[in-house]
Amino acid sequence: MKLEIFTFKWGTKYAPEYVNRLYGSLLRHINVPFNFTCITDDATGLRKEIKTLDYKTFDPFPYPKDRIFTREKLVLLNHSMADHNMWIDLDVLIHGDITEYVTRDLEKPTFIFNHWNSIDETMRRFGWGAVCHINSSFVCWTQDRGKWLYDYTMKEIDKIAFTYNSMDRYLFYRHWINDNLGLWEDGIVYNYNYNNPKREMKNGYKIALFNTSHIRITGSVSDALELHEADGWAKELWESYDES
Amino acid sequence: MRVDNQLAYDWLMESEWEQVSYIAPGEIPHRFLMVDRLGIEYNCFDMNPMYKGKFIICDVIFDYPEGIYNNILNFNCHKMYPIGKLYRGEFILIGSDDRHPGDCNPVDSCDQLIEQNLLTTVYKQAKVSTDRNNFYLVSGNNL
Repeated sequence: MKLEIFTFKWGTKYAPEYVNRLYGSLLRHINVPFNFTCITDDATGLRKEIKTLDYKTFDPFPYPKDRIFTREKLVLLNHSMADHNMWIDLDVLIHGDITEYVTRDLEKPTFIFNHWNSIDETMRRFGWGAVCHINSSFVCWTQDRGKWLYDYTMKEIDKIAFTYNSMDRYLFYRHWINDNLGLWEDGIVYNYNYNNPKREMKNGYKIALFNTSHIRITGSVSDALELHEADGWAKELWESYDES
Repeated sequence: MRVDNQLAYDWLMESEWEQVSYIAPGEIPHRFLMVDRLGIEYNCFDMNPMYKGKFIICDVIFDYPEGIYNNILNFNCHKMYPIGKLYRGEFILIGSDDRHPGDCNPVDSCDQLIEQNLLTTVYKQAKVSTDRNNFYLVSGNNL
């Protein structure tokens, strides 16, 4: 069984320790062998065990970054078709064993469903075109069963780029609504900053998300923290992954 | 009735259309749904599943559904890719400059609607202002 895991680091938002600690967390919480590759425009400071690929080859789209933001991830669906494949964002904190999920036989590429938000409220505002209930921070697919999504995106890229500013919104409005995506069940992933006012570790869950950009834009949580800004259990655990 | 819808309704009544497809109608005034009694056959396409059972649920930009007539009344040009790039026929187009976060295509002029939808003949155009935003309406064809 082959498991390929990818992450992206481009630009200057995240320091190398984000990649190194993510790798350390994967070593601790996945108990089967895997390859870990960082797609980056600057490999400085990364642990030597981490493979790297040139970020430039993962953005073939001739559109500004504010169209289908984080679209580069979709290229992986065409790049990696191992037994099991996964991409994971840098701004997450894994604190439980995820082997069961990353080695699952998945019929569809499987994304995070925002269980911490009300789907009824999302659907009430669906027609505005501005909501989203899908998160692409932790995505897995089996063999070539995600390739259709890459192919479809490339075929319709002009219309998609015109219509959607974020990849997650594209996935929600175009593919979730047509039942094309797999979804992680509740109890795996939660949002550290949202509906979690004391910022506690949620027992039984495995992954805490720290992505704050949309939260800060909407103002829904005024003091949302990035992973490197967190303290307490989150800081201690994150730093401990230096030793993995 | 909202001012832009009233004008679009007037244009529809003045047209010689015998069939019309409403695109993204949402909560349109009931009057639009009574035009069959005036001899205009209609159908409605909206991507919002809350209208299931009332309208045909699909995204006309991506799904290319069957049954779209050659006469199209698009109520929400500001929320989608220009429909005239994908379909040929007669159009009544409505777009606003509201710039809601879900609006991927804010419309700032009638010329924008004409150019985006590749209209080769323009019958009418109008700007309707409210206290919140401006609506731009164009009728024409890209045949």
